[in-house]
Amino acid sequence: MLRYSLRRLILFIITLWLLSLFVFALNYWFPGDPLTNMTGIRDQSSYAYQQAVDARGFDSGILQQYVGFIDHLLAGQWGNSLASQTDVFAQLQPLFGATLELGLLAMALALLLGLPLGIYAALQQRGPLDRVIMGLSLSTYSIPVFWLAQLFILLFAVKLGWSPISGQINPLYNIELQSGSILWDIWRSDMPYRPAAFIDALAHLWLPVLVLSLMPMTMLIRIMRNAMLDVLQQNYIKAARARGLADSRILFRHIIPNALQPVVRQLGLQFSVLMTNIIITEVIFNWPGLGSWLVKSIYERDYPVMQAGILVLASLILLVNVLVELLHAWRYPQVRKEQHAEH
Amino acid sequence: MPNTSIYYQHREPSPLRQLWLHITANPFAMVAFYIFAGIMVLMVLSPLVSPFSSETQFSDHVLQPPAWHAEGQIRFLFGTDDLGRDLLSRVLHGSVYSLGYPLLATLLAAVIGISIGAWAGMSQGVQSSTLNHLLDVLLSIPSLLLALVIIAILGPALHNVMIAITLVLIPQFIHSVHNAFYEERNKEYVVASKLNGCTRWYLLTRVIFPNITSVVVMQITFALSTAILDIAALGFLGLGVQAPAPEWGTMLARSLDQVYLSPWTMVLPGLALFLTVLSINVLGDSVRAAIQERIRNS
Repeated sequence: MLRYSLRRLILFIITLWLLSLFVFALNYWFPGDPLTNMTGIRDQSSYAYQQAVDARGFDSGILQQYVGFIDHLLAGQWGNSLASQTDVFAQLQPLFGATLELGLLAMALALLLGLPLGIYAALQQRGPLDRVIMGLSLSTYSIPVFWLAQLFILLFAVKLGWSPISGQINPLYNIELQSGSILWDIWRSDMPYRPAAFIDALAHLWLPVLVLSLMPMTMLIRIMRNAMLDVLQQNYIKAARARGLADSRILFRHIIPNALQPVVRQLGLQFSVLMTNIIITEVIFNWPGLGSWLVKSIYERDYPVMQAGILVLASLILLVNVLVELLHAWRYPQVRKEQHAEH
Repeated sequence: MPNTSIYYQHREPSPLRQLWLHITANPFAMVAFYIFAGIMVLMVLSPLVSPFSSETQFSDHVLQPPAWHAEGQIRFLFGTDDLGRDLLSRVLHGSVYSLGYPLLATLLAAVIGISIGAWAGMSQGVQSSTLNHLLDVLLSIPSLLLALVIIAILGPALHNVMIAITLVLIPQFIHSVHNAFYEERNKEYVVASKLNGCTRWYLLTRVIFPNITSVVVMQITFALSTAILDIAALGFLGLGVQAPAPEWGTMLARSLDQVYLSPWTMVLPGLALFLTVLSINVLGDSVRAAIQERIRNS
């Protein structure tokens, strides 16, 4: 396990290094002056620009420039936004919290509903409910997320009025922005109307979470069902039956833990899908997160913001993938051998 | 009755033919196949069958509801949008952007990706394993994010979207073809052909390739649905096909402003998108089932 983890971690570090190289190169590929793209200083005759030239090694070779770039990146000096001239790194923190909150809640909901439904469908194989669940999951999987979001807004927010149309919280509740995750911020704030604010935040939250979770949920249902069907045919299940174990014990101790293996392997991919959808969903629901920030920066040609958004989203996805792989290898030792073999 | 022909010879259907037999045996897959074929025909004939051009404006009929509504007119079967353009015509014309261009991008990516994947699948050692690791990493980043990055460099326009989507799809093809080749490479029939002295090129094109066509077909359906959704998503974000063009995602983005007053401007493009992607996904799903069955039987 140690060897495997080390291998994965080294691969992860190499990947991050490649990513940093790519983001560095982006500054030169974007139109305009590379240093302006990097720092967000527009006036090239200003004193600040001269200082940046010195600090980032722009008077010497490309290697020095890369070293300067990495230095500033690690120190959290990611330049200023071209549009608003505010510090990108400071802006980033609350946005990251908001995105993470949305993503984690959606993933939790997908797991919470998807896995039991998949198990249920597998136990009822070829029954009417199995067909209904599988049919629904295939069609939900094909709905473009932006259309689904619009339909849900139309139905739940406009027709039924169960939730506000967009936004994170009613601005009347003056919640101090700390981590960006709205539920956490309300919890931390010391206001008399905390419960009311909490309910309001939940009312804003549930619709985007539902929209986001549907796609990973349907995929999880399918994966879980197929894995269950595979395991059900194995000999050790027959052996357990022959030993006269109770059905529930076979299900919970023998079938489900083994069937979860492909599910765990796919979790990283599902998270990637979720992050794709989060970019679009945040734009539609006007959620103050990384995705809407990134899209807005592309409209505005705000290059410092753009590269920060790309860097953070990509590293988050890569990190989650590595963590899932480590979890997978730790929980299921048979996988480790497979991956050690050259392929 | 048993076959009485003396010269009876058991013929194993080719992998592609097996795939087709499997699809025809499944009613859902057949329905999806006909829907997809219908959409393709409509796309090709869209200049002929659509009642108006996609940009004709009827200034007296702005935001006309669909024909079955009390205020609707049969002239505008599915109503008109906020500039008085006929929705049905726009959706029909839009199929070229939302299905035709993704199809083109997928085929282009398939040709490039399969060539690289085949070359990589035949090579071995460090070369192959490095490529595999790199591809694994690249594939874990969502295609839309990659496309967004490319659009950010090139700027939003139709041809840039095509470049971005093609580039994004290529690694997926390389990965699946590489793996398929890798699995076939050391099977007995390949070794036998090798011992017979077949050239590398013959081995590649005539011996191995026919046996991985089903994997390629599955990858094409998968890539096509990704391409359609990504182009529509980019259009929706305003970073893809630009506004007057009747691309489905762009139409949805435009309908966002008045969806509360005139929901029909949103339903038709979304439904077209949904039906197209659903039929492709059902087909891809049955191809996957066919491959699994073949592996289980062999």
